[in-house]
Amino acid sequence: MAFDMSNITFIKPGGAILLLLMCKQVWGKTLCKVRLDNLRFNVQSYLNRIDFFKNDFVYTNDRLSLWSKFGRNDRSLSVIEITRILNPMDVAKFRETAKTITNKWFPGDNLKPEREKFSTMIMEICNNSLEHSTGSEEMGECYGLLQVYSHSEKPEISVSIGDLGIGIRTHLKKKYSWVYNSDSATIKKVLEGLSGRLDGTGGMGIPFIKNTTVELKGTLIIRSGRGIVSVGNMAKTSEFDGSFPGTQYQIILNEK
Amino acid sequence: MTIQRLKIINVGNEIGLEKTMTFRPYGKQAKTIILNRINELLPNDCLDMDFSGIEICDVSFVDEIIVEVQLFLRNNKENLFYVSNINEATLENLEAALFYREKKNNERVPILVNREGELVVVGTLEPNLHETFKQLAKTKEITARDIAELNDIAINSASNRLKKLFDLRLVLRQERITLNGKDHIYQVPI
Repeated sequence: MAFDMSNITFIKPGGAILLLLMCKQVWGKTLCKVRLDNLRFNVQSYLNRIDFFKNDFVYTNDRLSLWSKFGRNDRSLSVIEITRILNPMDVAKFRETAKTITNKWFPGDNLKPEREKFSTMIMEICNNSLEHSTGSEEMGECYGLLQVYSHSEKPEISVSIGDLGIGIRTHLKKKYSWVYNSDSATIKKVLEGLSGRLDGTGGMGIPFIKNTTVELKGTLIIRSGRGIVSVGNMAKTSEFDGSFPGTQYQIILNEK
Repeated sequence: MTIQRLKIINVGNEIGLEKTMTFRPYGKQAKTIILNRINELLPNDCLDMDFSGIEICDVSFVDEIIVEVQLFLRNNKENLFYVSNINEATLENLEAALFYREKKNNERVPILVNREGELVVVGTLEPNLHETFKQLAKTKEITARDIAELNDIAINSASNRLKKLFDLRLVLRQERITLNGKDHIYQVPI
């Protein structure tokens, strides 16, 4: 199985995580590793930089330039490579690395509350995947990737976390007799506090993420099933023809 | 009245966490450990939930180990607890948990926090109750008669205010027998 990547000219964390999940889904269905063909130089360099090909269900035969191989700085504080998150200890580790990066790019005591809120958002998102994506008591898993863009005066931080679980609407369908037919309408309801936890303790994590993103003047994008909802700077709602498993979150923040 | 200290970092260690407290199901396990400790308290004992060494607790985790524990106390026990050595980040997450509780379930769950040796209430509390709490915190123990005199209000109103604080598990209450009969004395631990 191969994906022709010739039309892809640039890839950001949200795209990289979605591509990874697509490869994993294909591998899961066919047991065939996915090959990425016709990668452009910059896309291939980036995928290599974020350890995309360290996942054993995807590979490429395109040759990587020496510059990409040797120009890599593993100690760069601009990226957290694609990380498989399997338990709360992994979440804590991912959060700690994210905190080190935000300390560098968004320094100062005045930004400390924002940095802490950002790290709490990361934990809440990862934990949602771990807790709800399997639809059973079993713990799920997710993949995370963080990137800082420093090409302008004000850095931009982008984090994407995604899983291949049952998705938001299916999760809620297991809990309630009614659920919207539309994924995006369901995502919106979850953003307002609808939770699959029926003991009254749920519905805090996602509203916290939404409200904090708005407070920090960033953008939050949630994709699940056919639906995609973004809040904050680029608020919009869409429903696609095709569905894709799992749930994916992306948060983009700039220093204001 | 005795104050028992419970180091939350030790509770975290028991469930495999270190300085980052995260994941609601783990929070539920931590809550069980805390409730076991609370169940061992004698009447009028207090629990000091010591957060030293904790770098962060996420919103869901604090909801379990603080807000849910407070609700348990309200319904089952006459002890109280307060939170100490909590950093700003975790305190903000506690405030967020209290905000979402109130917004979603219309549930007000004020919590006692030890800030540099002084007990303060975090979360929504009616202004007159807040004032009464501050008067009690100043003297460490007080009766309805004292509150009535301090605020020039009827003793029944004063008594109601103190009872509400007790029902919220923000103060301790002890029955006392005096020459005039029974009354209650209300206390805070620090």
